[in-house]
Amino acid sequence: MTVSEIASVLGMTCVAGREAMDREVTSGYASDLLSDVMGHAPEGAIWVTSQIHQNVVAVALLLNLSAVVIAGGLELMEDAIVKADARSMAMLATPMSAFEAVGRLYQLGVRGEV
Amino acid sequence: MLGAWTADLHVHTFLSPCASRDMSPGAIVNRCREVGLGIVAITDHNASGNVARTMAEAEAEAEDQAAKATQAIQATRSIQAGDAAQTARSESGLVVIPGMEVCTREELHLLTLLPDLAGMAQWEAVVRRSLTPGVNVPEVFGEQWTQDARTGVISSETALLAAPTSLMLEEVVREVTALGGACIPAHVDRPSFSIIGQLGFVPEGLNLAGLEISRAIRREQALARMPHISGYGLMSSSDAHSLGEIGLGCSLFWIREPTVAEIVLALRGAEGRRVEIE
Repeated sequence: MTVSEIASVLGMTCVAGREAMDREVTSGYASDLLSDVMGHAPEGAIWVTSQIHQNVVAVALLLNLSAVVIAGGLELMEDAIVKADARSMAMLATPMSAFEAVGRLYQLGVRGEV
Repeated sequence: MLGAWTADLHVHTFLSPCASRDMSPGAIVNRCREVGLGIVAITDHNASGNVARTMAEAEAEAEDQAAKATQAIQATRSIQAGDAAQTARSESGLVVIPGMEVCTREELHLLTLLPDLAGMAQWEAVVRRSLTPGVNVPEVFGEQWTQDARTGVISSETALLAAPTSLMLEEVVREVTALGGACIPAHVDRPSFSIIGQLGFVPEGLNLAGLEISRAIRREQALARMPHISGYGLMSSSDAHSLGEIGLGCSLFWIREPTVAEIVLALRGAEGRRVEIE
């Protein structure tokens, strides 16, 4: 399933990195600690978080994730938007809580590593 | 006797991956003088490699200013050259405080200020052991440059400074306090990397010197939004990542001398000392 398909089915808005919306999502990860994500998120994962700063984009790029979902109706900071656009990292936003967003992703067949 | 010192205690150099490439120690010292700062703290992310160079630049700048002022003083008054130089120097020096903005395990930013370079070297050794393993990826996080204090040669720092350390907030406060330093949680009003953003509140029983509010908010606004921080001394600083930002947030410290110990006393309002946010 691509980032674009997920965004359209779950009604998530792409707020940056539109060029990367056709990336394939191969798994999922949820955490608000960068150190945890850096240590455990698998390549190709869609990452659900409530952090909004530019290091979120940097970590997603470093790990070659497929997309980031900013949950809870939070707004991504301007410098993060610029970075995600420049480096093509798809950033989605949703008013859903992180719990709800992860649940909906799971329903669509996205799985974490067990 | 108390004197008023304008201080910006949160400035990054080009060692911080997110800072502008023109943030060299020399350029920072010049800009500090231009905007009229008396004290600056160099606070890069999880490293202090440019503190010594900034001190050296400030020293050189003071010597330079003093030489010019000495000539001016001697030209107008008939006093001894030595006295004139002394007068000129004490009026022109920018004080550089060794600092570091540490990202704790909770992923909150804490300004740590150390009394001198020796203390900072000890503190940096602790932080070094606690960095996230790995090397910096400049294309993702940004370049990290250090400038040698003596030679001025610039080289790349390869450690991963953008990632958090493994040090817990309490450990940082304990270690820095033991070295005679001060801990000040950074930009507590901001959602990202702040003690309140990450934990929701300021834990009790921590030996914090005070709290920093960002330049985006006024003291009254901060207290109205976060009434539970009213027991702490507040200061404002720029968190400058580019030259033009230096001094945009600063605080006036009424202190006896420009030292970390006096800054702590001012934040705590001891014996008439105080901090005014400009």
